[in-house]
Amino acid sequence: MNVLSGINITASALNAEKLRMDLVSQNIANAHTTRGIDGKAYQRKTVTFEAEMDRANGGATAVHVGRIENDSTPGEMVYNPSHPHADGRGMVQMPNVDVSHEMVDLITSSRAYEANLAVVRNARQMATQALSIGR
Amino acid sequence: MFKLAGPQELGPGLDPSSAAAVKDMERSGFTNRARGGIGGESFGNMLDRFVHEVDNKMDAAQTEQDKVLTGESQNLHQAMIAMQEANVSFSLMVEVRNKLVESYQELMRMQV
Repeated sequence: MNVLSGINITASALNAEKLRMDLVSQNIANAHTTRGIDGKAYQRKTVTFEAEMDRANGGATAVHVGRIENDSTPGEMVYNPSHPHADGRGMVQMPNVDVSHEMVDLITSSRAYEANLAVVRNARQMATQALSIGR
Repeated sequence: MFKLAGPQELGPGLDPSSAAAVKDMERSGFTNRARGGIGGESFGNMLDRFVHEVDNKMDAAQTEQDKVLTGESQNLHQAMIAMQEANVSFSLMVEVRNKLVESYQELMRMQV
């Protein structure tokens, strides 16, 4: 039983947005990683959010993180023969991370995070004011 | 807890109509609720349940805080939400206690 109404839904959204921000930070950090763990260039990671029925809250829709997937679009091939990872023709495969795209994702997820925090704050305020009926 | 006095115990000064009203209230289960009778729950049980729930919420908040501090969980907001839950439910319990004490005092103030 939750005193703050709907708080489970908001908590699931906060988790999801935080995960998205973590992935954005990983993508930006690896924007120039030309050799990943599997020997190929780093592939940008994306996450999908799915809806999930939260039975405990009377069927309200919570956010459920789907899979974290690799973005399979090939990155840019750059001609750089002096690069240690250059192949036979002097081309280096760069990661498919576009930093401006990642920055937009970062802004989106941080604004969504702030919006959910505002919901929590308001729910607490409503509960406190309801308690003041009796005072 | 409180048992309303039956009409025969109220003394000679009381007129019979109010004694009948008291008897009606008894029959309708008003005092049964206070005693924990049919379909009701005694105040003692209700307070007990409240205290246990608040205790559970406080334990949950403490667990979440420990998880964040030891680094097991990266979700700081989870700990804050659990703390707010515990806080609000504790305030609710205090309000319930205040109301109970107030109504008890009101009852005691009644002139017999």
